[in-house]
Amino acid sequence: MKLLNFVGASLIATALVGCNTMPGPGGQAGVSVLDSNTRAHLDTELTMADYTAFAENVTNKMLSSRIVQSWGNKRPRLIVARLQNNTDNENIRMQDIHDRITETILNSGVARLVDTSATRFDYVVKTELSSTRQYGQDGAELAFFKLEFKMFKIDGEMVGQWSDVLPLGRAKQKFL
Amino acid sequence: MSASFMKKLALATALSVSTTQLAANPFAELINNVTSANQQPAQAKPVDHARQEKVTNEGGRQFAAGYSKAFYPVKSLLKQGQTDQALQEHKTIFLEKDGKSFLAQVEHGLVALDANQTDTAINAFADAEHILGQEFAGSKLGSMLQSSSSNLVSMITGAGEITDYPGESFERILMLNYKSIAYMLQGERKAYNVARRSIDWQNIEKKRFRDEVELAKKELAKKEAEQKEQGNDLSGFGITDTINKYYGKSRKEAAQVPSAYVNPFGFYMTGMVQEFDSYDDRSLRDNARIAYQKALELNPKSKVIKAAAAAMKKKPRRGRKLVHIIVADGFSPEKRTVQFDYNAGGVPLPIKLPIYEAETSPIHRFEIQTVSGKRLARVHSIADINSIALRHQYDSLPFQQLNMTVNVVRSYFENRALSKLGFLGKVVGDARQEMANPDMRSWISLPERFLAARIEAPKNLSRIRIKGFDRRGRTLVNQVVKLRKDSHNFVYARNIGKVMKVATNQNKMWAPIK
Repeated sequence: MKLLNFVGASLIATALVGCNTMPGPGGQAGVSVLDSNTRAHLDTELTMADYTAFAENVTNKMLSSRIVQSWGNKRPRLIVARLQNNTDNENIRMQDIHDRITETILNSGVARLVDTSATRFDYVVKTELSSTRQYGQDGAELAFFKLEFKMFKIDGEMVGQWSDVLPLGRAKQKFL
Repeated sequence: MSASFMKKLALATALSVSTTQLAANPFAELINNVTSANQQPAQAKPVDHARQEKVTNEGGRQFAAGYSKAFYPVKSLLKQGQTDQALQEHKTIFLEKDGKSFLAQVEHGLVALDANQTDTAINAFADAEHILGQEFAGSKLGSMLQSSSSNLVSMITGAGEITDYPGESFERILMLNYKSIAYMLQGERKAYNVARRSIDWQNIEKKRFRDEVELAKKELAKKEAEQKEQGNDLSGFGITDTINKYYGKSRKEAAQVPSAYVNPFGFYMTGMVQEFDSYDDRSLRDNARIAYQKALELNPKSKVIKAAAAAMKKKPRRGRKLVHIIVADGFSPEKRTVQFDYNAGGVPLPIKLPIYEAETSPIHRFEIQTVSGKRLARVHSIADINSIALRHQYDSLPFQQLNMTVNVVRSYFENRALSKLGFLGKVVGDARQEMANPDMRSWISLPERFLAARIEAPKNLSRIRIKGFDRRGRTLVNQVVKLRKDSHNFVYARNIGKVMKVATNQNKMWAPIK
């Protein structure tokens, strides 16, 4: 901005360049409504559609597993622990992912969800979102996001593990 | 018409004259004069008794100028421990005038953190990060080329602060380090995510800087080759020697670190967060050990990192709470202008270089004690920002060399053009001289060094004491810190001279005490 001011002032002052027409505010940006399921990305970060797809994929893997199928109509008490964010982005809306997971489990009707403060429960599902990044020439970037569930019994025995990976690639340069 | 308008008019006229000549014959006549003329002593300048001006051993004048000078009111308040006033002053002088500047945001964030306003700090660091993404997205140029050397207008005009400032590479990493500290003070695990990002950035910056240095060297070699083809030998120019003379002083201090990319704070912070996590899930103890180990690889002499890595081989002690203490001591080096006359064919050309000047803290060592005076831990170094900044300056000499080459040529042709204009030339020359200043911007409120201590304290320990001693063992700083009883603790202490400001986590840490 300072640079523009300086150059602008110099151009006016010399009065050698004649009439300098400044660009106007420009045309309005075209804005359109996208499909809520669109998986378009402007950057190698997760979008709301990714949160939804990620949460549903891993939860459905868990729900269709042998152990959950074996519950039948017992509807055990289940805790979905706080989702751990181990990515390099503190702004990921972890609550949205957690809410989608609980919504999917509730809709399936296979278990009763209880709060993390509950003292009576049968299983606890620990969840973690992690990421790795690789950088290539000229700022090319490959990011992998992984959502992982681990199910434990009350005595600490792990009885199941499910995950899904979302790779996002970018070829163009970015400052950082 | 206003005086400033007249100055701009005169300046622009001079620029158009000098740049036209520069483009037509950039080096030939100058070099011929340099190589043929007898070396004449530089003309004595009238002594300007500006604040803190001094004469360097090399005969130049060193003084505060540009951004460094403008920041003095804020720095002065910080030195007096008046952090709230400093924050307000910074807001008035810098933030409200140029809120879209990276530098204004990071300075504001750090001063806010020192004033224990963590929300303001986090917002400012987030804005700074956003500015980097927005303003410089798509740029293949990094800090050095973007901010000083390669920007054509900046170099031709000699007005170094005319362009936007994206921060030096090590400053951008420290921005994330500070953001993670701010999150820790809020008891937020988000500190981990930011620290991880800082590790990635440091690797990217390291590679980018290496590429830029190579680019600058190639650019210099290209110019030398072009001139040689025209029969002008740049080796008689003496710029390399001049640059080495003025920047060589800090070589010893710069050599304390192998590169400007050995800041272990990101790894130390991820280790710290995972150590807190390990009170909830013991399996994460090993992750914490690996993170501390990586920090140790970047600062192998650090006793606190070594001890932390070793402690991760054991399980957390029952009935104990973890207290991590970070001490940010002093001020990082600030840029000062060194002005001297470069003799080009009998014509003394005023050259101004930005050179970091370190400001050493009077504190030799810190110690953590109980309130009754029993030592709990010594405080050891994590990251030496002073050495990192000086190392960055030292490694950046090819850029300064390129910068000075262009500036000498510019000054020479300007002088020639203006001398033909008589009185008007004198007016323009004075205005031009006023405008031609190097880029004096740097993140001034940064500390000289980060130190740390780590204590597994009894659950009921409610207060600790941080003491700072000078080389003779005299107590210069003595500050009692109140700890949270219901939680692990993170303590951030900012010490400037003999004034210490301390903050602890405002909310409970996420991990439980065993």
